[in-house]
Amino acid sequence: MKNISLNDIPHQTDSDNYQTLIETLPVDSQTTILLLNGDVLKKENYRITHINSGDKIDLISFVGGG
Amino acid sequence: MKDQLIIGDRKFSNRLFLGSGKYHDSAIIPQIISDCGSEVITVAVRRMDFKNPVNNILNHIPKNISLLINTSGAVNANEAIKIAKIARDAGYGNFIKIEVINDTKYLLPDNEETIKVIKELSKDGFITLPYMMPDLISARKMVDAGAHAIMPLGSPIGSNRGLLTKDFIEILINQIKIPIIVDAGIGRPSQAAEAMELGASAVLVNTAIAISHNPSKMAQAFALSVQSGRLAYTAGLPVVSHDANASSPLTGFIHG
Repeated sequence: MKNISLNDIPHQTDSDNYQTLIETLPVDSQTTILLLNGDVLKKENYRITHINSGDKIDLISFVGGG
Repeated sequence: MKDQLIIGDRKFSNRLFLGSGKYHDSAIIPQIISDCGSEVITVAVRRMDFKNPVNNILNHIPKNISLLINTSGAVNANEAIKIAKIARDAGYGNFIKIEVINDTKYLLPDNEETIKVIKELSKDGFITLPYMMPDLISARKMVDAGAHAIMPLGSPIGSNRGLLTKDFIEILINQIKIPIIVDAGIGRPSQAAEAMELGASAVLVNTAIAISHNPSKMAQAFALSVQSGRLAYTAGLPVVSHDANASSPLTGFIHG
């Protein structure tokens, strides 16, 4: 198991890469933006990007706003 | 000639910009867009509560409308720059409404921080539309920094108080050569028409439509008022005079 943080909340995962991680989360992967250690991780790179313990993930989405 | 609004590399024929916040049910948004013909809609960016995810607003926004990414939530220049770059890097374009607010009571924008954001994003090729307190000197600095349109507030966000800053917006319209889009505080269609008659290039309306009992009808009402105000502006409004000027001939009276 790896210890990562999701939006500052500690999270444990046995996923190997970000594609499998996001599939375990109750989010719409198409419209969710994932920041890995502060930078946008493009969707096409989810599968080839390995998860390391200590990774800081931010999950971001668009919301209604003026 | 077609009356188009040009902002950066984009051209619009509809001058009512929509906000996407505060709708009781975001699923109504496609209908609203269809009712008023808007070609631009704003969205905000937030960290999500992934344990209680809500349906992403993008699922309710048609693909053919321009997304204007709002940096709302940013309290300083760095945060606004970060939001803009996240949206761009994630593939959602470079069309940005810069909103930097650190006043929690009146939600008034910080012009000085906003100018810093424009400078930075302009270097990176963004099309920037800064939300601002209507002040000519700040607006000039925003233009010099590379802004593509200026969005002065009519009155505080969501207040529905209309054009409290009318005289200052008029100064911007007269002195600033890029589009002036009145944003915030427009609570009724007559106020939108008033802004357009003044010569605003467009208005942005969110609360007044979103919280109406009938958002669909209200969107139509705003669309008509924006068109009406624009037509009147392009036609040329008459001079106001203190005394009466008869509309009927002052000769040939039939006296009893």
